[in-house]
Amino acid sequence: MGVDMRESDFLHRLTAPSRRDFLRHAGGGFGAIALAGMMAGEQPRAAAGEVAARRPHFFGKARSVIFLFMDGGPSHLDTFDPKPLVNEMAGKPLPKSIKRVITPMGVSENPLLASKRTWKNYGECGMPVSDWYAHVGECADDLCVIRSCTSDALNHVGGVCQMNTGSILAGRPSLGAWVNYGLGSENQNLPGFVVLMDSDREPPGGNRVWGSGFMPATHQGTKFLPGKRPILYLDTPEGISDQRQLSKLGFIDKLNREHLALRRQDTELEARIASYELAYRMQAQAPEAVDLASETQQTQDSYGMNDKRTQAFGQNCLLARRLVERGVRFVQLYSGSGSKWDAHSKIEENHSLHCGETDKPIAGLLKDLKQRGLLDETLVVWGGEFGRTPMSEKGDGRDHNPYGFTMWLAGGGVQGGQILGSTDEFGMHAVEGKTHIHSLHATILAALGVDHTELTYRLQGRSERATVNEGEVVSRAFG
Amino acid sequence: MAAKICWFCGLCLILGQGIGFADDLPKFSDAERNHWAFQPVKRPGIPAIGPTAGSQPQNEVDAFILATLQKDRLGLSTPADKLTLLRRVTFDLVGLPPTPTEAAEFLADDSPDAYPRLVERLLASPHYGEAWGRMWLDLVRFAETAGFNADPARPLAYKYRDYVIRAFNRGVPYDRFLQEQLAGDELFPDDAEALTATGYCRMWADESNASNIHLARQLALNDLTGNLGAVVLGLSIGCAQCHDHKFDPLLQTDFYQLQAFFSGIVLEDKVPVGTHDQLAIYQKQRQEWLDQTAAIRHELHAIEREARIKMAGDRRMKFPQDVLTAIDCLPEERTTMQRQLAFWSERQMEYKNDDLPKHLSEEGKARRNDLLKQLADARENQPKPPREASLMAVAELSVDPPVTRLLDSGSYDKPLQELAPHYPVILRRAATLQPPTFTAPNSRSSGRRSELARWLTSSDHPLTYRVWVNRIWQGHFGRGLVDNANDFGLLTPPPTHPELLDWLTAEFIASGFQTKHLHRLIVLSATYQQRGDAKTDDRQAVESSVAMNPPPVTSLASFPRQRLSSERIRDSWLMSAGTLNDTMFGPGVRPELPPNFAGAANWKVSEPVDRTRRSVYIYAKRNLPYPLMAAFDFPDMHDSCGCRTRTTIAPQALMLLNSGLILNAARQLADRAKQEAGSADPDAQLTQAWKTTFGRQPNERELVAARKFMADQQQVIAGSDTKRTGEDAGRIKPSDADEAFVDLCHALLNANEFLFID
Repeated sequence: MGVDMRESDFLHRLTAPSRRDFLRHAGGGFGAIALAGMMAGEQPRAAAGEVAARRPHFFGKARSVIFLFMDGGPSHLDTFDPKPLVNEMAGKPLPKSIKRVITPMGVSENPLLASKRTWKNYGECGMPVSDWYAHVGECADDLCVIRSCTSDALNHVGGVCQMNTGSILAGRPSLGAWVNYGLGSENQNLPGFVVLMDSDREPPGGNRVWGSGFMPATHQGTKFLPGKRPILYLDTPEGISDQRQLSKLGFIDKLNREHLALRRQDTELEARIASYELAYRMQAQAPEAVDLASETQQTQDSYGMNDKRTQAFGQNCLLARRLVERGVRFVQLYSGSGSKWDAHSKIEENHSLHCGETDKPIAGLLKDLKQRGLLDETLVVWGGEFGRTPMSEKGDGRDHNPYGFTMWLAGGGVQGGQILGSTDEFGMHAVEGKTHIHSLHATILAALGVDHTELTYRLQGRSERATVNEGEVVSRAFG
Repeated sequence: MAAKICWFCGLCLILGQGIGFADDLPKFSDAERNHWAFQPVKRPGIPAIGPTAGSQPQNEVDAFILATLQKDRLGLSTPADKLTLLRRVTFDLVGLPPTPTEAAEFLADDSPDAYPRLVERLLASPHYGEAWGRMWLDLVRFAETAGFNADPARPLAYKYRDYVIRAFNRGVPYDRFLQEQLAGDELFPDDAEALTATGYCRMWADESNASNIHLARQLALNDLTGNLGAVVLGLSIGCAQCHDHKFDPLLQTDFYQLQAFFSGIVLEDKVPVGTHDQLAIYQKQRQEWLDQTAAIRHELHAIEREARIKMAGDRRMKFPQDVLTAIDCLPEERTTMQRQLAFWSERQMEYKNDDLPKHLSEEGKARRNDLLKQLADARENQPKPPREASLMAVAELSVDPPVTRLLDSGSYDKPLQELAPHYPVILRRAATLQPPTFTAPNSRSSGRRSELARWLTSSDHPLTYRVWVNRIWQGHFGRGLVDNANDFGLLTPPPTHPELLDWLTAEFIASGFQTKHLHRLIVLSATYQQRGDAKTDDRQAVESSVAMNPPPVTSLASFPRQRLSSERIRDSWLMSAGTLNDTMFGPGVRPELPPNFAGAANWKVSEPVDRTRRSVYIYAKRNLPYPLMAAFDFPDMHDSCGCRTRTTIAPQALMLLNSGLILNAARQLADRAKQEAGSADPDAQLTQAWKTTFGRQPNERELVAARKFMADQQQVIAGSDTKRTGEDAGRIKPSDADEAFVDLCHALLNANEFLFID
């Protein structure tokens, strides 16, 4: 055995034939191969200079990412980016000085819709946060709010796709897959990239948005199911001992390796072999990892698990903490999966519900991470695929706004208590410190200590990057 | 001048300016006009090829494939061995593995036509329709429930699924297959199969308690239009719903003009069956009867309406007056639009007809009873249709359907100018420049859908048949000649073998649209019959080939390996276990759910005998795809799926390892293998297990490994049994060998060799 599972550098350098050799000779069969090894090096890498994963302190010091995805597009104007002028001018159109944009529902000349929020300055930094996110506001000194994000997508499918993969068109690997590929897993017993949903519906685009695109299949996200049993069939059936199960797995592994030996390199076959190894290890550790009952009542309550409204998302937040605590690299949580944040009408009703579902759980997560000393090594990202317009739609809703919206980062070496960038005084356009999704991705990677220009994947002779050769790290985020 | 943006299609950023009018032909670019997919299909000549190593060409398909390969100095790989080929083609054409008997027969058959005869046998099998019909069901987002929160059942939907399977089995030509689904009621009213086919037009997901009825109606029409575009035309015309298409020469007007062909449909669950003449007589008699009974029916309705309004109470509040008028109208007197509005709204009134008298005065009750009696008497003379069928079908009520308007930004409540039914501008030819005129097939139907079906299936249509041929190719090789089967637009890379696509299409059209003809051309080719990716007994060859840069999968220098679909995985387990119930057709069945599964309350498990039916018959519940199938990439039933994704994640392995369903199959397989081995000899039993799962004998290495596993596993079982204490501790019992054999069978059912096709 003797392979350091975290030596992904080494594994990334292996060329395919030698890796195959490595696989074959790596010993007495099942369980001997480091998962990171399985995940690495499917593509021959010519030079050490192209080695993907590094652990330098490029910027941040995060080991993991928790991405809180508000599916459908939360309103920045009613949460983290107050615009008093919108209220003052409510009922009138945007002044002519503001550049007209195209919105999906064509609301550019609609009257401005007042925000009914009350705002309070939180923390030592005095950051304004609305009453919809009062609990999160208490963590203001840990938040780095970027008010000037931009996306290219006006619709949900394209928006969710870009926020995940960098492109509005499906087919590229998701950021979680890039991280999984670049850094491997720190825990051999759990998937490196886990996706959690709070309902049965998937976000627009379905499982492609956590797919591995052109990369080998092992890097894709593993979806856990909503509810109390996120992974089906975790328990070995009654009457079958662990030794018996392991020995059977050993035989499956042997059959599969014999089968592979007679075939040309095939990432799907290899991924399947790896998936059995992971499955076995998950059986050993995942039940403990997903067992929320072992948390104290106080902890559960702090995530809002004792309240019907916050129960589903709170449970996922707590699960996310337990997963990153155990070395999972990238956990993505969807709130309102299936575009439920999409408040074209009745934004009061819609956002009261969804902010209400997420406020306490998110605050609970941030405080819990901090208290356990995990916040420094966990980057928490909040946001949706875009924000919403200051103009009204259908009288009481807001349309999509990819021209300027808010995302925030916390932990992972990010300097809290600061607000970066700004939108115009109506919250329509990002005006200062524009941060395209590519830059956001570059910053997330930077927090993980990865230089986005050096994390590459060879595809048909070309070096592909997670940031599609664009984007700049928002270095001010790191203080 | 307002530019339009779409929030549906996921593609567009900023679109052109303004809306083109139907008669204001826009200036498409040359690249758009000359896009390969819009050009007529021309039958290309067969390319000349030089001598080749490896598999020798068998038919024209190979000439095209080899011509391309030879440009890179490549050829086909050698022919696959007979067993690999048998397994490949059997799974491919009927979705099941060959039985050991079939394998033995085929291997023993040395005649030159053994393979073609095998192909004919498979194409004639009733299981063929179950395998290939499933592809169509993916495309049309088939489901037996409506989706959204309530996800109510559509109890007759299964008849459409059965129709599709039968149509494939009967070899219904593809043009007729489309005509039946789009306009079966207009074109073939005396054919109950064709009426069943019209279920296609109502396969959209639907919110049972939609509060905005006009929006719900529009969404249904939009969904149908988008699906038709993707499935039949291979165009993402759904993206032109709010604006002109960003990347393809498709106008927003095209979307609504295509939709206009469907504006007259109403949904029927019981339809008369007969020729147009028979039905005309029936309708005339029916109308006469309605006229005779008008006074009774109107008075009765007036009495009951008051009671219904009381019963509905607040539930009426959310609807505007035109919807309420539609609800309050006598059903047989509703206009087309009123029928459509009532479809989405009336069900939300939750009338309880038994309670109706409670809401009437004594006088009203008495009068109602009197009228009901009169009506019952009159029904004695009510005319009957020639035949009647309970189906999920569509029909029309008038020769003059509701108008279709362009919708500003795609908003249902921002109608602009009226649009006539017409074909997308880019596909219009000299003969079809003007909007089509319609011949009403009878006094109750516009003829619009028949006209659309005729246009789509005309033999010179540039898209319909190319799209279909590509789907069939993709079904065989896992990947189409065109990479995106649902989108032949400008964003999709052009075909890898354009001439082959056109030759196959021309050949398909010349055959009279016979899909089985395509299957034959493909599976009888050397390209199809060649070895998989360097599958070889020569390990050295594998090692050296790894270092080489392999040719891309699409060049077909070898047969691309494929993981079995979710259906095939499950069906193969059942088949290996010997428990597959191959009864065809009928309402969806519900096999067991995983223990403690959250959705169990909505899933009434079927009788044991039905739990082992083929997977295509599993109840297609939109909000609860069967977990075992969902784990292996069964598609979301809300959208058209042109090509399934193929994920490989650890929860799949957990399911295969720990699901009681599969453990049970392993136990049954073990019993069966012992029985069929006809011998107590462990080697004979091992061999039988191998044959039942992989279709082949184990080789010597495998036998040695299997024997060792059997021995070790007995030790493990004995050693880990905490009930064996004292003298018995760790001692092997005779039953341990049985258990070890079950474990071995379970391992075989988990093996890549079982789950992948070489």
